[in-house]
Amino acid sequence: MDMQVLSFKVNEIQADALKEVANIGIGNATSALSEMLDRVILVTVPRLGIVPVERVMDQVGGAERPVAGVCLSVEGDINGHVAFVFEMEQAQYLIELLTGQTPSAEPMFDDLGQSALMEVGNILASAYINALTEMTNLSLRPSPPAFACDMAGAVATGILLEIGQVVENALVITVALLDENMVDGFFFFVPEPESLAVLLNALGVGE
Amino acid sequence: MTETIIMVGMAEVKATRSPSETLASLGLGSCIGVCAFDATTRVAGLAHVVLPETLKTGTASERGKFADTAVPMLLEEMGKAGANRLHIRAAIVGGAQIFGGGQSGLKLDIGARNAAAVREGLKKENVPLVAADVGGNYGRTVHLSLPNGRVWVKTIGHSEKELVILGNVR
Repeated sequence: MDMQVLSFKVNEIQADALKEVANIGIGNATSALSEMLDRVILVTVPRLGIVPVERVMDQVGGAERPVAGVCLSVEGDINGHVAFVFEMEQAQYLIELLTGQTPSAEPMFDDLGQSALMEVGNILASAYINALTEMTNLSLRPSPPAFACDMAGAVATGILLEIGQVVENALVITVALLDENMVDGFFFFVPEPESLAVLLNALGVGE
Repeated sequence: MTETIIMVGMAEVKATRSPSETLASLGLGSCIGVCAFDATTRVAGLAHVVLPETLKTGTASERGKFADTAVPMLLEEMGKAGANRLHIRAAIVGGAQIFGGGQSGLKLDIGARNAAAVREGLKKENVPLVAADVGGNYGRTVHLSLPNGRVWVKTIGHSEKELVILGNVR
């Protein structure tokens, strides 16, 4: 295997291709969410960063900051994880939109709140995975979502390290979902290193 | 005297003997904070271990990342700060599985493997492990304070407690 892939380095053309997938995937995800919530949800242009695992929690506001995260694993031609991380206030706002109820106080949401957030994560992730599938003809199956509400450092490492020992960098896509309020979300796509090569090839930008 | 907090980020190892300093690792999930203290010289050290074993691709600059190399590095750094390694006592914090359980497919329990590797590493170096707050499915922040080697553990929605005062353990 190419050592470059192990350390998750991509060139500019490959980064653009990954951004394009993210754009389309997040676009799909937002339409799905708009339908579910019956209100217009817009999305900002995703910002893409390739971040060392050690620095990922800085992206979500510091290692100790409470966040809610929904994580799915993906299996098939590509193996990896897809995750959404929301800051607490924004998670609360999403729960309110979805359930019409003000969620229970921090630190942990009640079952209804957790289910609502998992559903949001599920819809966003599935839409992203569908976009990937359509663009690449690769076969991908998402797992049921897992939920965690905890310190950002703990949640981020949970997403990044559970997949194995070889991931040193993560592809982090930051998007803001917008209705009349703004909901910032952090979207993580963490393919296993050998899967990244498969994905880049399928997108026509392989080595 | 004002307390100064020294952050020990992922894969970092730091040691100090300044009596006003506290070493801290924030938001430990599957990672482990290895706290070590020598009561005779009052030198404290903290390693923020990320993974159990050194990767084949790992470089020397990543010694702090892996349990098998971070533990010796911690003792070296404490030695440089003046510690007598015969008197070093250790406590470990973290090693949780945040997305544990369920059918998520996240089966690899890195937290438990990290804890086992750190225990093994300390044993190999003959450093007594005198306290541990590991496992579970929640994150932890650890503070190791001078001058007495107090280990303080914070969580969200679980307990906040003093785990041990390493300086009081012989």
